[in-house]
Amino acid sequence: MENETYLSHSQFTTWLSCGEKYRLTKIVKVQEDPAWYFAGGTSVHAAADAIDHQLLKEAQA
Amino acid sequence: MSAVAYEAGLAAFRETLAEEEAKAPDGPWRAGGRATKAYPNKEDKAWWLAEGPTMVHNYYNWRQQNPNLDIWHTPEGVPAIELGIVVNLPGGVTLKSYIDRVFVDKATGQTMIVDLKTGKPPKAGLQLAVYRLALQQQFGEAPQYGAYWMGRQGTLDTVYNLDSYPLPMVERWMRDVKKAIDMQVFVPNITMMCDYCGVKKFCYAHGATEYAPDFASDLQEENQ
Repeated sequence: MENETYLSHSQFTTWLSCGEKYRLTKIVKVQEDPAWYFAGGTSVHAAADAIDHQLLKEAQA
Repeated sequence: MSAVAYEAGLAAFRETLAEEEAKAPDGPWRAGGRATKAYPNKEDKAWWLAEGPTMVHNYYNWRQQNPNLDIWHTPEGVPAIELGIVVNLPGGVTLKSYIDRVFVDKATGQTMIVDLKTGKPPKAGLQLAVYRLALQQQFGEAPQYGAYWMGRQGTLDTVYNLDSYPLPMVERWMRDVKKAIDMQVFVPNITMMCDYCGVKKFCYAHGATEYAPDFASDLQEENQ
């Protein structure tokens, strides 16, 4: 059978936490209200990535 | 270790926060944490502008204090920083993962999965075990250990022995959830968490009608 959709850990836990939230966000694709914890978390991730990429660059120099 | 790396981290933090704010959909911004005297609107933009750079500093320091941890590279030479992997599992599951880090201990050669968290630590290592499954399927590399790096503390939380999550068990859980999704099993779970849900205003369990399923025709089909 062809795989129709991706499953990620995040989608897995969303479905487990609330089936209707999964349907609304992944199937119907309504827009979720913004959250500072998502924006802030993404930004810290980007910062950590930048740190490690720079450290790798320096190690290879 | 270099101050250049730290400065690059701070710059990336500021730029990304501005980008995330600019591209956010309309709607009331949600904030986590508790209201305090300093931050009456809980962990809002002002809180992140103040505390985000502390977490960046914490990461830089943690990397500095653990020189034994190198970034693991895939056999193709890709560094395991936000490593994207797509693998096919039994039951028609296509598992897609972005793995924050895989480190290798220079002294022992042992690999470890690390996921970066800026809130509270998860109660279990299942997310790390899912990533282990992806790494094993894609590269034949199955790190025995995994941990969450906690931005507020600047340290690793519990180091999990991922053998506690046998790969066939993880595969089965993913397959079972995929089956339920394919069968359109979408049952609302009404809890206190609904107050923080970003789609509550669209939820029929909370009185919204616009996107509610057509229950009558659902049940009719079932009875035919």
